[in-house]
Amino acid sequence: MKSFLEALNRPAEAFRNKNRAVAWLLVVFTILVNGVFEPLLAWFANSRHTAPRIYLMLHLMLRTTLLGFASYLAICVVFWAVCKYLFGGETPLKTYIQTWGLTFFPTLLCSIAVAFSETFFTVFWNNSTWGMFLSIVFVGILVWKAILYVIFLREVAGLKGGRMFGAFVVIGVIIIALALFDGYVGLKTPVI
Amino acid sequence: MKKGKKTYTILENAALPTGWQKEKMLENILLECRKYDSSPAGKLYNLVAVYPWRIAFGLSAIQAVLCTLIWGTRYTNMILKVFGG
Repeated sequence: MKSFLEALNRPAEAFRNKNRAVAWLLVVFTILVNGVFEPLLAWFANSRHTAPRIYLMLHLMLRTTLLGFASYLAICVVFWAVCKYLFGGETPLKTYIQTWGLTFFPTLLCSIAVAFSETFFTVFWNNSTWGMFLSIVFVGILVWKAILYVIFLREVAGLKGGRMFGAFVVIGVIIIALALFDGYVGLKTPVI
Repeated sequence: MKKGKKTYTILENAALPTGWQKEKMLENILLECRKYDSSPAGKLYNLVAVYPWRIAFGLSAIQAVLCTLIWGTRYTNMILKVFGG
């Protein structure tokens, strides 16, 4: 619990302590909410009007879950490769894999919010109160993740000043491309 | 007497911090130093780096209230379309 609170409130220290259990739990929960919880919620709420066949749904869940893990590894490789070969970072790939998961609090929250907002879309559409609440949640998550991204580049990749700004822009562009790709393959919240 | 001295030396060496422990201590000292960074950029970084969700949701709440007041459901629907479905 202490490690969870540290990742939530003091990410710089959490990155330094590299609590792998917390990082992996956050990543696994995010992937499971994306790959298993969301389709089940949609199915039970019958928001898609037609109940899919069980084996098709299981196939979809397995595919989304595997793609989630692949997406996580891909973003870690991007961090490592860009920081090492373009900006002279010395952090090994293993460290990125062990620590990037500590930034997944907002991603997990986002996947839960997306699951509900998509399933109960009609409740929130044209409703300014719910809409305002969801706007606070989604934009807040985006800003939170961006803050963690900067802290991560500084504390884990060990970049500062111009090099950090360069890495921020280059990896930022790749993150947007990966997010679009994740959406294309069926991950409603990008696992990045 | 000589044997006793040797044992004492072994104990003394065992009590010394290892290379890894020294590195950890240095990291902690550097981290503590950064907390007392007096430059405006350093102060801002420290403010944001501790409880980052506080700043994120604070800024988000301000933009959400202002934009909803100005554009109403056109804005909230746009956010919903982009992020939530």
